[in-house]
Amino acid sequence: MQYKPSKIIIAAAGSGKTTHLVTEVLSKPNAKVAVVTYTNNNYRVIHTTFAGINGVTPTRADVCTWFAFLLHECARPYQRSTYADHRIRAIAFPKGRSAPFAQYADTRRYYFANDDEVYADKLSRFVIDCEKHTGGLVTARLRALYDAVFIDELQDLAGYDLDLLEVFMRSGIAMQLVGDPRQSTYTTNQAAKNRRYRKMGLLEKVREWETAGLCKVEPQAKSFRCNQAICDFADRLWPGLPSTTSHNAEVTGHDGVFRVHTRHVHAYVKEFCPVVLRYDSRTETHGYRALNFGEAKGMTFKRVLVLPHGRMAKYLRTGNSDDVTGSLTKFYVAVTRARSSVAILCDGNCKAHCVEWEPSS
Amino acid sequence: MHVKRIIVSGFKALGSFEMELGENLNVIVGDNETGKTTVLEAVGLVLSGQMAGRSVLYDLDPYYFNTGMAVEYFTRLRRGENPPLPQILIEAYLDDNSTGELARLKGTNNTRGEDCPGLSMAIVLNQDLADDFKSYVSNVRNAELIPVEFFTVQWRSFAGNSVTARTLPFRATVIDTSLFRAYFGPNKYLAQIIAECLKDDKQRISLAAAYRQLKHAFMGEPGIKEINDYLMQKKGDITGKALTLSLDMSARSTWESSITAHLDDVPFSDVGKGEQSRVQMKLAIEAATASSVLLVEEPENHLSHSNMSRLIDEISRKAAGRQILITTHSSFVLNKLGLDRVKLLSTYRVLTLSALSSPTTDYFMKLPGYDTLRLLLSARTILVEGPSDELIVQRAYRATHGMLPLEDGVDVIAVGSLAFKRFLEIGAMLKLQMCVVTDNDGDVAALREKYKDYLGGQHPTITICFDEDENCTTLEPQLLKANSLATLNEVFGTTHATGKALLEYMKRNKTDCALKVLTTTEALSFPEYIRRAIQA
Repeated sequence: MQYKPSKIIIAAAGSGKTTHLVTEVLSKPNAKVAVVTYTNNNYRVIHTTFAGINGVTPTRADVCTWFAFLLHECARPYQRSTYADHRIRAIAFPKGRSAPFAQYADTRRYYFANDDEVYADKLSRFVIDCEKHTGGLVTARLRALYDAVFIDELQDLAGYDLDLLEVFMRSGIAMQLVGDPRQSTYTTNQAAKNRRYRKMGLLEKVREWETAGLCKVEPQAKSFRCNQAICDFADRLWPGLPSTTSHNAEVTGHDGVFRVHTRHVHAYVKEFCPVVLRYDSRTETHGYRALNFGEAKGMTFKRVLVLPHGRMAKYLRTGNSDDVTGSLTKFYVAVTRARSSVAILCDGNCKAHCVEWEPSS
Repeated sequence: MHVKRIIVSGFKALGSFEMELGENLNVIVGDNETGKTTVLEAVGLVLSGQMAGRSVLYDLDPYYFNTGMAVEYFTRLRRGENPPLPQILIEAYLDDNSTGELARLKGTNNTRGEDCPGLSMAIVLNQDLADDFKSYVSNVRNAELIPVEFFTVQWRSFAGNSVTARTLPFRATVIDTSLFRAYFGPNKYLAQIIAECLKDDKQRISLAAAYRQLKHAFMGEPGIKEINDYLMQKKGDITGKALTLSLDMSARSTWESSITAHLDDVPFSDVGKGEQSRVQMKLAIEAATASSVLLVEEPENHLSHSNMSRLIDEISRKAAGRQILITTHSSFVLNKLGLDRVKLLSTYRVLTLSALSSPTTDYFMKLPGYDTLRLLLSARTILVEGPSDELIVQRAYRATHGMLPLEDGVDVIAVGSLAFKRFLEIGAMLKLQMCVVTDNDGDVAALREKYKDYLGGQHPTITICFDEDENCTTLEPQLLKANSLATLNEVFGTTHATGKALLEYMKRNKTDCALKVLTTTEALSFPEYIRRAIQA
């Protein structure tokens, strides 16, 4: 086994997580691996990263999304042990929690919409059931199929997904997990299970696994993207974590984190042409085309202009990160997209560490 | 990789069928209409998704459905019942030492619920057309054929996921020297085999690229340029656009359709049919990698005896490390490849001889001319010691049943008393109806000892017939005992005064006498043990 033991990399934004993962895959030219990620965006990013380094994604690497992986390689092969009435045809994505009144014992109604569409938020649990009912055949098959399973964007997994990862690690599948809990803007499901491990709580779970000897945890507190001033600003949002070292020393003449008064916004955009990022579609964009914070994940820009929402504005006034709780991750993602400069629209007092920008004339 | 089991239902002759397959050679024999070819087709279909070189996904045929099943469906429908929908299912169970790519096909989605890698192909009603299908069958009262337009093909792994031919880590190569020509013409089939035979993808791609290059160069030829320039002047006469000649550059037009092989500078299609068969088959064997299954249909076609012998040697040599399924009507092929590899198809079951003792297997391998197929396929076999016994048993049979044994499905085979036990071993294993007619050679006790495994009723399908009278050691005195001296003198056209003299004559002219017994119109009596044999 080339990959044992399992390894979890907790990385900072811009640390080159995906590049690291792709390099790791390419470094062992005979290993058959699965590369699993949550978002379709990141699925494309993984292929692009492979193409950038290797020309193509090698055939021996199966790149797939988390749900495709669960359906094709985990649920279907042994579904009969748990549900034999119909072949699982597709995945149903319910709004909120699926079938909230169905009892677990009622397999068909608990797990399935229209008899053959498995609920996305319970798919992991279904796989755990199959594993249990077959006495470990699900993981045995995966071990025969792959030398290692790579999971990118670990922070997006939640609920039973985490239990399933634990089952995988306990069964001896070599796992390489990469994630940044600060960027957990999506979660695979809304299930009540493991709620306390969501977002930053994931770190707690990861430490439990490490204590149980299931994996090694490696922090990667460096950023190839953001300059030091931006890293420092972002670190202040998460007081409990190791501080990030920047590997970007480029000087452009306008570097760091700035605040811009609404009345100067047109002047600022005219001078620096930043990419405009907004909290969501309800945010006032002053006439500019803007990207939602969540959509910008995984992307890199030279300069960004962040249009904050209510809580973020409060944080700027108080400098207390507790004031942003709930949308902290999105704010963190927005700030860490920039290589050189972050400007935040902010009128009035500001206690956050940023320099006020004013037009020169 | 090898297929360890095939399960088929509703497909052509195979209403409900199951067969275990050996790792290397499998020789499938059976009478006509027992579904030998269908077994090969089923294996080819489930492994490659193709039937006679065409994808089944686009080319369903009503005759794929088992006729009995279709008839029953429509009959019950007409009676106003709701019969189960007709469907075809073919499952290939693969061997389980699966790592890497085979593991992807692993799961329990098969009729046995067995955890192993495999493929299944189901041809079932297309659920989207269910209502249309219902109104169709209720309107067409005299339908006999399944309306395949309403059906769809589900080709999946045992993991429950859809598969495509490209994603499978193995191939099935069908070799049928008699049929393929009719479908495709030799070039394309040959090209296919040659393509598979090429060393690697690199060679295949360079061939395709070179061909494309050549087509491109064609456009640059001065003559072609001139023609195109001429056509350009015609612009407006025929069409408002520029009309030029070009070669088809699409993927459809590939080297396979234009390049042909030569043997000693003679185009392949002009070489003798026998050589064509042999070369095609050998190329295909060459092409079959360790991870592919080779399906060979009746290799004896178009081949002379010596060529066939060489080919069979070739096949058995290459069988190591790959799976071959071969159908045959030739005892020669069967004996040479080894009786222990045989899968005998009868209408209801598959029989194997894999537990045959090795001296018996060797015996038949050394005597490849032996008509083992006759033995395997007859409804009943009477084994006798020599040609004269054979003729007399035939005559006795006709006297009793009014027809020759063969017309009655009974085969009389002269095998020599030493070989009896070899044949009996096969008969016992396959529960064949078999009867041995033997001389007592003056030692009944020795005879009882020799056949002690068969005399106690251990094998109800086998009877051993001989006479207890140690004074009548062979057939000739037995005949004399059953008939008067005068009758026999009449039959042979002789005038022997004593039984002793007649016996002397009979022993000297065994075959002559037997022939005369066969053709005489005299009413002859036959010894009791022979009558027992033909009655049994």
